[in-house]
Amino acid sequence: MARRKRRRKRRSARRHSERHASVPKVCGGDVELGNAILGLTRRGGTCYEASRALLREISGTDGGQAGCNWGGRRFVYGQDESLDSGLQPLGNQTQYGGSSYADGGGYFCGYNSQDWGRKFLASNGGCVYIDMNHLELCLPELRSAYDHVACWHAMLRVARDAMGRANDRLPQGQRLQVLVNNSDGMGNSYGSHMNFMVTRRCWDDMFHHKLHHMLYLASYLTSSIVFTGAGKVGSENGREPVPYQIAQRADFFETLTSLQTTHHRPIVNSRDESLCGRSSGLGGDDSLDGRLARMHVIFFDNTLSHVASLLKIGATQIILAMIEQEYLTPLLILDSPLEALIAWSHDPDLRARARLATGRRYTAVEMQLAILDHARRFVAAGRADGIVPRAEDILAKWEETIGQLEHRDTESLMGKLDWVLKRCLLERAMGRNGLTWESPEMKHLDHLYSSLDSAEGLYWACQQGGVVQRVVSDEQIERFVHQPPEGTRAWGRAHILRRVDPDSISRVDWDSIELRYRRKSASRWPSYTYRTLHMTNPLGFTRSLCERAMHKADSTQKIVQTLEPETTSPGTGGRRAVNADRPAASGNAVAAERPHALPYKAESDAV
Amino acid sequence: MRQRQRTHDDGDHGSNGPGGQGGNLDALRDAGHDLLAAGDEAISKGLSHGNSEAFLAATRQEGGQ
Repeated sequence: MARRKRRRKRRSARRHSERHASVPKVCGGDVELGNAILGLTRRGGTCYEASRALLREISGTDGGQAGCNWGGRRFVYGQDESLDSGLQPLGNQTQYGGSSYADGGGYFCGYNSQDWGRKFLASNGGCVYIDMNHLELCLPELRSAYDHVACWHAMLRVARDAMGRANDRLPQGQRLQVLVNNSDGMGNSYGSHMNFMVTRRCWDDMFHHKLHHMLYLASYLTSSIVFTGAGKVGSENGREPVPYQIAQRADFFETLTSLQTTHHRPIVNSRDESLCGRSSGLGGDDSLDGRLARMHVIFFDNTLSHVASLLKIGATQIILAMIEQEYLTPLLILDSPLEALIAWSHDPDLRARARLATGRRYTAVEMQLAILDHARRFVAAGRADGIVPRAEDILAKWEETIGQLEHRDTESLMGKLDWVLKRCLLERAMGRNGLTWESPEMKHLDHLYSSLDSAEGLYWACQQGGVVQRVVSDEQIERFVHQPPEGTRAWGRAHILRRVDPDSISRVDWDSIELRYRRKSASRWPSYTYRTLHMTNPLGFTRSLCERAMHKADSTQKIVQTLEPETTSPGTGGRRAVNADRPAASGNAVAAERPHALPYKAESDAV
Repeated sequence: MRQRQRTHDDGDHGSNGPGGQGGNLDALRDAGHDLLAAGDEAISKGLSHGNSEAFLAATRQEGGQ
């Protein structure tokens, strides 16, 4: 009897442990920029030309996705004549309504409007491509929110350099304009998507089993606009007119949750694309790639302020860790997140109240205070250790900012939050120039706030003035322009792309690199062996795991052999898939087996 | 684990309080003024280029994700 009781207790403890298993909150981002060519007239705008002009100037390794790529060909900016064939689209309309774009070889290809021209960066392991005629910057995988801020600004520098080179090629009277914002003021919105690693169980619970988890996340996201909002003059998408509002994207959210990203946008996006190998969906898949999922958060605005950018990632890491460990309360769930979002965003004086499911009515700041109180206890209990790097520092900054919002301490907040700084700058301009919120000059200045051009953008002018609060230094930012993060597979990806012969690269993706080797053959036709290096674990292929081995390897094949033990598996056409599920020695460490990883020191320390 | 104090307790309107808070408030105001002044030149330059309506039309975007 006692033995049975002990067995039951052990089973219950194991179930509890599995249920509350948590993984480090690896994060990333894929961000669309506004882009246009001033001085060039096209019906419907110049996004097509502008995005391609930018992409052309960024060096990277072709991802080799089906469509417009040769596969494995490395494009070096300014030196690949094929891309100098001009900016005129050629050929016929495709099913996506776009036009085929031929490279210099006259090769007509398919066209995916949401993923065109993907290039992975050997510099830092990130990626750039064109999405719906916007240049999209994809950050490499990072562990720390501080590193995320540094890397985000690093990617902006990459885009800025590309803009400069592209402008040098344009004829007199034309100029590329790039805006780090989320809408054009005319009803067109584009996204700033942040990604977070969670357990598969967490993801499945949120979207399939436990509605209150999803509602809790929605309630946090909605109220987070008080620090993640980038500010906007006016309203769009048929909403009630307002002079100024807190968030750029608020007007465009029309549903609570869905797969959609281009219309009928949801506050909580349910896209299930783990980028960790196969997505298992429901069911008992015990392999590594069945244990992880990616939370794809499309809600946020593009932020430039360091503190806003830090809290956007860091606070969300903490909240997702809380949800993962089921440390949440149904008392902090909004009755209607969509209504709350509009009410709160449209009131930059922070007085509007929204109803919770309990019947209480909270302002956005009060909501954040309540969530923050919960988060403070979670972190104090050590439950973010190994999961959210520097959780205490993030919490302190979060607390300080919400406190200043509570007391409407504008002087302090201007240096921290984009919507506050923008509002103050625009009100000052209004007073000095005799304008009103409805003047077109105000919308013009709204856009100029986020101009990528450091000589033009209002944000950069304030940052250069030295009074915007920074959380990472210029040196830390510059480092991520040229180097990958060391604690994730981005390191392995970048260094493999640097070392491997570009002609050997067949395809690159976030979780795999497919290589090909020419085989000796009596036939006059080339014959290849394909080999895929699986990088399914975002915490594998780190510098500490791979550097020494890679240093010793002196050929592409030796690099691959060193990083992954080979397993022959049935295939066609000479392809041999490499088994990725190997322990740490191979570089593919299983983070999900170590729910509380060793303490991690961010590569970027606070300034 | 350390317990974090809130920056402003419920009964303490810190930045408006008497005594030692005055110096902080002046410093904050100066920083705020400097911040806004840093943007003045960029604002003037931006508005000086002329037609805001033309700029807004030229920067029309396509819908993204």
